[in-house]
Amino acid sequence: MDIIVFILLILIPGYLLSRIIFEDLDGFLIPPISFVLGLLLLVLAALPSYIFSLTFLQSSAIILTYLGVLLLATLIKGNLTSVNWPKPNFNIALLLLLVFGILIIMFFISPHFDGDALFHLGQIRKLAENSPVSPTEAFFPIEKINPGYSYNIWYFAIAIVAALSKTDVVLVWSHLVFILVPTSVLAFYSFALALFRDRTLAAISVIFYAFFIGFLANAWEFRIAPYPDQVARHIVLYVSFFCFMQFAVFKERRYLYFTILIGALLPMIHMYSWIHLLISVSAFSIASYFLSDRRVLKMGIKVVLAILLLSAPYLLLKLQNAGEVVGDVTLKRDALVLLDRIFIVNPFYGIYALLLFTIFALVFLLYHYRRNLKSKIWLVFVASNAAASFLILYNPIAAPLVSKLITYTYFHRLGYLVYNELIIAAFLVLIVFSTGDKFKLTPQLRSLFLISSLSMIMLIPLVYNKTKETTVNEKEVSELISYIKTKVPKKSVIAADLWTSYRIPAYSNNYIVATFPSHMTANVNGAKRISDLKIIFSPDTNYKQARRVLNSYNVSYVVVNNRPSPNDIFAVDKFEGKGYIRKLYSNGVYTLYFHKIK
Amino acid sequence: MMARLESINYKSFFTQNLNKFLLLFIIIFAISFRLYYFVGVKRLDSFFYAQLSYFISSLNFHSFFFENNNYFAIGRLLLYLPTGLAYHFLGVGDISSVLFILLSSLANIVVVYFIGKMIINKWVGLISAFLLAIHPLDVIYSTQYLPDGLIPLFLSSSALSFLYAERETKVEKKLVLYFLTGLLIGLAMYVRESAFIFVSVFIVYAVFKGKFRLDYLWILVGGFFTFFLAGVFFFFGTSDFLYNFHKLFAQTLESKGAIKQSLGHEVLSFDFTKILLTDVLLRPFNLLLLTSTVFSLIYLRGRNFFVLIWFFTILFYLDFVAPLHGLGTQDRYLSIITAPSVIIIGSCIYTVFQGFRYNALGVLTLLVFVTLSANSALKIIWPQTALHPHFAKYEYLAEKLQNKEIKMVYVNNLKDKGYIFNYILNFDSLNYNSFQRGDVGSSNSLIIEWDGLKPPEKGSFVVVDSEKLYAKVRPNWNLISKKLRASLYFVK
Repeated sequence: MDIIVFILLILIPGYLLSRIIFEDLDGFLIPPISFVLGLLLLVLAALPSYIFSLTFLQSSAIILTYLGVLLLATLIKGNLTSVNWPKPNFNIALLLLLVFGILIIMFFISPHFDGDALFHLGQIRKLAENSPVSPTEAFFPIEKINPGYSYNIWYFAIAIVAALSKTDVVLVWSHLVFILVPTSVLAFYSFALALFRDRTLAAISVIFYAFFIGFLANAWEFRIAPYPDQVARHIVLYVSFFCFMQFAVFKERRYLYFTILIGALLPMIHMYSWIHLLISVSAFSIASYFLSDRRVLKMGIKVVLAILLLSAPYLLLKLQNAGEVVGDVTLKRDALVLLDRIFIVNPFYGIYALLLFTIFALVFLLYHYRRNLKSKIWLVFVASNAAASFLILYNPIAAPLVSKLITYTYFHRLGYLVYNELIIAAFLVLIVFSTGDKFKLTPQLRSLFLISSLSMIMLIPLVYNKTKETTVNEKEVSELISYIKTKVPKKSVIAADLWTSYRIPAYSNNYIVATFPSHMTANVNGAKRISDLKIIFSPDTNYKQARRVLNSYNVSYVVVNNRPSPNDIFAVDKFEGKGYIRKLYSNGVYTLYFHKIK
Repeated sequence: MMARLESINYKSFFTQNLNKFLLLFIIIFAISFRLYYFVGVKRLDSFFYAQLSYFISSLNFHSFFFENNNYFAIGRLLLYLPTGLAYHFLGVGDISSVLFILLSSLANIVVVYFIGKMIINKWVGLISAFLLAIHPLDVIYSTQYLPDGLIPLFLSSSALSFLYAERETKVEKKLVLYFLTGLLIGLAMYVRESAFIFVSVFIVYAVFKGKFRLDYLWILVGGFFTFFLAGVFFFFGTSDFLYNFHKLFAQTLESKGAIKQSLGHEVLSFDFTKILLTDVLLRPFNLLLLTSTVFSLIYLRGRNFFVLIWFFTILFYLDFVAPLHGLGTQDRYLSIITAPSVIIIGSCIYTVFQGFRYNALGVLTLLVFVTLSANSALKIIWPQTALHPHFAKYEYLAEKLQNKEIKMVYVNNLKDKGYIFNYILNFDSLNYNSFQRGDVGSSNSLIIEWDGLKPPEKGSFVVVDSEKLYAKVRPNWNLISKKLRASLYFVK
């Protein structure tokens, strides 16, 4: 049911809009473009809902209104079902094999339900289960705006689907991978096709996309497909690149407008991809000025400025608590600190074997095409983006600045500006498998690509390592949360150790005192909350001290974990037999108490 | 002399011998790779093998035959004899224990080159040789004292000899080569008994080719010749011509019983195929192997037919016939199909890339990529194999017991008894003598499993595993040393 609602709310409006704007679109590009246009249209319902605290019923009315208008417009135009399908050939067979193969893989690979996933699920659950729609922080009842993910369009999309289909958000999240993963494959294909303007090369690039993400990386990014950063990077960003490349080649205004609109949609889903797009377009435009078409610089400036201008109101709305948001940058293990606050990505960690291989291929391609670079727009694009990546990651001035803007976690992901899949596919097809600068798809090569794709699809679920996130208290915590979901009133504040706390808002509509610092947003004073949580459970504090803290956070339920992990808060059960607190539930590991607030 | 040197045209000399130079480079690379990921004697089985080689090195054949009275692998002469020789000249240690295995692994690379060269051309040989040089499974077992590093050489040599025989036109030479084929399989049987299954490769090959020749009987003659020689050796040592087989059958029946008991039935499964496709050590090759196998069936038109039969017959045996399938399936048993798998991949790579302008560059980049993947797999596995903490604690305690007159050592379970004994033995004759040999029938009867009831004898040692011991440490035990969870006490 949730999938049907998702199709109805997102994909169908997007499809209708694509029939009006991009009627000549290749049939295989329709799913990703419909998806992105659907999200773009959803902004019309989501932002008013967030700002004016509408209910999902009112939001649905907005969606139905534009759905009706679009349907009418498409019917008037008479191209509701006229799709431009390419002729069936090897490229199409390969693409279909990869898309459906990866779809089938997802039946054997479970979505990831730990780490950031629980944070996102907590935020989405609050949206889906509480009316009206609100951008406030979801883990803590503080009525503050969540600076990272407030007014998020993707959260709104999942929440409204869950609310209207009456399905739990965890289930919606699990089901969505079956739409998102094939859509991301097609989105990448759209990008590759717009870049290379060659179906064979685009289809072969998709093999490498599946190879790197699915085969080499244990399908990790397929498993986290519903994360906002994944949706933004693997679908919306690629579609924005598609529009931009189409604009760069055909100079048609509709592509310009949609590059800008999709560019402005990106920060509403995830900031990283927005920065990625801006850097990418800027780098390409500057490189084009010197290497190929001087006019591209003007086009690039136009696109970048328009995206910035259009994004500004949303960013202002979002960053109303900016003073608290932009704190000190937390560096990770792969940073190389040069001076106080001056750092770069440590080349020792950043430059891995595959990257060296890609650099070699890129340099070879540049050398090979050095005389006719002007006609190789794709090469200018991938080379300029790779250069931009290095100039930021290994630049002691740019690195701290960009990290401040998008956090270090996302800053070092600017390595994604090096498009391994595209460069290696181009190297293989245009250099290795070409004779006299001409690539001929021999029957032998066709078989090779098909056999290797099929083998890869077969091997991905076989080698997939599912034992990775089995944790000690998995069974007991799920029993505890089932009890909380059925017996504890919604929106109660529950005090528990950090690991258990992190799971409570993800799986039930309740609040917590604190969780892991990396999963608390900057404006909730995480350090204070953690030290208060320690007072509640510590063996060095007495019951009275604990009670004072419980009252200050309006905690009505306390969970004592007898088996916390070594890095977690050490919990001592000092509540047994005390007044104002009553034992409700115990399962050997967890004990749940009801606390009467003073 | 100088004039002769000057007269050589170095450019043409280099071009003519390019494949030899490349093969030399591959061998040097293979040595470096293997030494970088050196393991040494770490597994339990290796200690038994080392003990038997040690007896051979000191020409103590009585102990060789009877010390481990029921040891099923007593027949693995080709494993013990060369290492015994190495012990004799180089002393007992990690390097001498694996020297012969390492050399065999390198020799196998050369043999694979010749097989590749014979079935298609020298480039296929070189690509296959390189792939074998970096194959993580081959690398990790080439420096361990186990049969898995040695057996592939005999089987590959046997295959090469068979291919030469098939091509040979002179009758006498042909028969000698068939005889050699059988002889090499026979020798392989004295590395690991299951090697006889390699005969089935030739049978399946003959069935597919539709020709059974009388000449093939010479393969059996070669095999029986080895069998006879080994039988004579055992007869003089034990008065039993089939001594090794009697020990082996007794163990096989026992393990089959164990399988039936634990699983309720004998297993028919694709366990080894699963390992082949999913094991960390084999993963860098799995996609290439799967693709190459299918590609070979379509495009190579039987050119690597023999290698495909070799690969599939042995895999079928491992999956459905081998006595240990279902229980004790380990990646190392797949070492016997590493050679055919790299030749299949090599022939496919060559076929795909030939005819393109930058084919050498393409092949090279692909090989670099596979090498990096192989290196990543080894980086995961090597620390677990070479530096296992479980072994570290016993190695440490054994070191503490060295040069002590040992009356008795108490341990708290049978598995620990085996480990601690092997570490105390540590292939060192000094330690071995410290066991006051002569009083005991079995050399590890001085290490006894303790049930925690009867107090340990005074003057003996007790090894306490803090996670396993069910009896408390007694006041009259002096702590000698402690590492990880293991402690060594002396009973006052």
